[in-house]
Amino acid sequence: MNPHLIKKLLLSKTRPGQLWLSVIGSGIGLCIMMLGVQLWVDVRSLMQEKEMLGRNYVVISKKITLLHSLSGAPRFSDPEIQELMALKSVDDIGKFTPSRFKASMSMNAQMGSMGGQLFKTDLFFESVPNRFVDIEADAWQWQPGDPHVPVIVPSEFIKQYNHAFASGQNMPVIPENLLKSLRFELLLSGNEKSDRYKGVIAGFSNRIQAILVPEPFMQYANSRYAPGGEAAPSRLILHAENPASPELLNHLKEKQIETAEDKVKEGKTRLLLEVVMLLLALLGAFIVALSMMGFLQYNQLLAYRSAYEIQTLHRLGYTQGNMVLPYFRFALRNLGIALALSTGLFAALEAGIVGLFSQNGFNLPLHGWPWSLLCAFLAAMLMGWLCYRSIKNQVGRLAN
Amino acid sequence: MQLIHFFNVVPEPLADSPGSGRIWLQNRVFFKGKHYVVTAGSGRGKTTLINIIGGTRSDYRGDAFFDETNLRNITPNDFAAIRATSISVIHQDLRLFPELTARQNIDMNPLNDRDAAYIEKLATRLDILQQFNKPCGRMSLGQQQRVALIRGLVRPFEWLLLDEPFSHLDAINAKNAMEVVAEIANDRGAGIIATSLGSTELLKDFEILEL
Repeated sequence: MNPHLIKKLLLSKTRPGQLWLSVIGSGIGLCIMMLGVQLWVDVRSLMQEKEMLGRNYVVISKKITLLHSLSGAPRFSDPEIQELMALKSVDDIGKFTPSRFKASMSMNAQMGSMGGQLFKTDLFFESVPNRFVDIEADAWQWQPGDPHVPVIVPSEFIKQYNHAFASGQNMPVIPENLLKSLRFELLLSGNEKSDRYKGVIAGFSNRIQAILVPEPFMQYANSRYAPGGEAAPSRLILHAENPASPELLNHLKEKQIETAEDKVKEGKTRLLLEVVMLLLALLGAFIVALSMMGFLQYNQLLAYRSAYEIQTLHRLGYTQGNMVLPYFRFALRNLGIALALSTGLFAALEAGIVGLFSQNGFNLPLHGWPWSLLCAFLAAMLMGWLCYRSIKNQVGRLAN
Repeated sequence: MQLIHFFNVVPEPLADSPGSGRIWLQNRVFFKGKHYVVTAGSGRGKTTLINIIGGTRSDYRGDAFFDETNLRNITPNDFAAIRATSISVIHQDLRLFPELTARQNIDMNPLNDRDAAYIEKLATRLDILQQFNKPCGRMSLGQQQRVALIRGLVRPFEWLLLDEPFSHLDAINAKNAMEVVAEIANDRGAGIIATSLGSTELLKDFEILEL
């Protein structure tokens, strides 16, 4: 047996032009796949950043008509909530519990920086289950007997105070972090009882446009100052994977339920982006598959051109394995070249894409390329395996 | 592999006209160490017989055996391994690699059990040594036939299958080649199954079997 001669015989018809075409083709295919994966990782991380601001949460309420001005806000019954929960796109539902007692808040001179009472205002609270609150659990606790009550204030509320109210009334402007260190007094009354508590701003929320207190405090206060008035909720907070899903939107429309419009718009934009990315991914997969097929075909053709040699070697007593090996080694070498080629091309194009994004105001977080490289490597492995199988079949066919 | 046993074998293409020869549809045993020549006109399945024993054709009815092993139970890869060590076939179409030299062609055997000196001695006897470094594609058919013979004789075998082995040789060269073949086969204790269009005068001590 002379391995060198066997290799020379079997690989005598490589046709350099076709060979490079197939190598460059599969290199481009792998490169497109790597770009696709990288883009997916990058853009996904951009979208996940927004999710922390409550993208997947929607606050809904029923439409208020003239009729309701007599009967009070329309409420959600238990069957209606069950119905919503049954929707595929809805993961979780929390009920808003409104305060049924009188409440006012005041900030005094010894607490603030000015003389006398800074201001006093009537308030109302709401509460939602703790799992919907985006604040560390430590700062969001209340137990009976505790005089300190944490409160979450909508960020928008502070902005309105600072920009509209304070500047118009010659009041001091208060930045968010300073507000957190202020203490104010809460006066709750009802059911012929009246108590003072110390309010602490535990945080600001973008997600929920209401002044929130912990749910245990709300239950305690409602039962103390307004016993027996338990009522169905008029607002709900939904957690939905995709707030713009047609199923959810149709249901809400049908039941005349209102929702914060911008959340839905954002969801629609995201949906569009996902559809576009999916289409691109499919196109990419198609190109990758084509390039893979080209590579496989080249190797089959290479063996086919040496059909006489394969058959003769087999007749002389070489096993199919003896003959598959030189072809497979050759294919692996070419795959290695294609992989190196695609990695270089990918590095260059990726730098260009990141530049393009940052020019347009998106700072892509740098993730490195572990996923893209891993995918390219796995795809090359898959290609190697497919190559091995197709060469083996081809040699088997030609040998006999 | 002491014997090759054909039991009611007939190639598919001849199934409707097997003739009344001494192999097709007969109970026929070939013994190792003995020499057989199969004679018939064209189209009677001589090459098919060689290829059935060589394991490269399986479109036949009936059963053929190496000792107790049915040939149908031998995979193509196992058959290749058997050929590499036990069966040497010299094909009618010679099956040389035209771009390789005579020396390289002989070197293409999976196993050679004769050294270079022996091969050169053999080439001298067959009057082909001076062509040894020439690509086979540029040789005459007679020269190619002698290269194929040498390639078939320097590898290990228990059975030598010769498909019209001297068809391109003149009378002197054919006689010479026949002597070499018989000598080496006897040395190895191998059986020979040769085919011939009709002439058997060179094949002394061969049992003649008509197809």
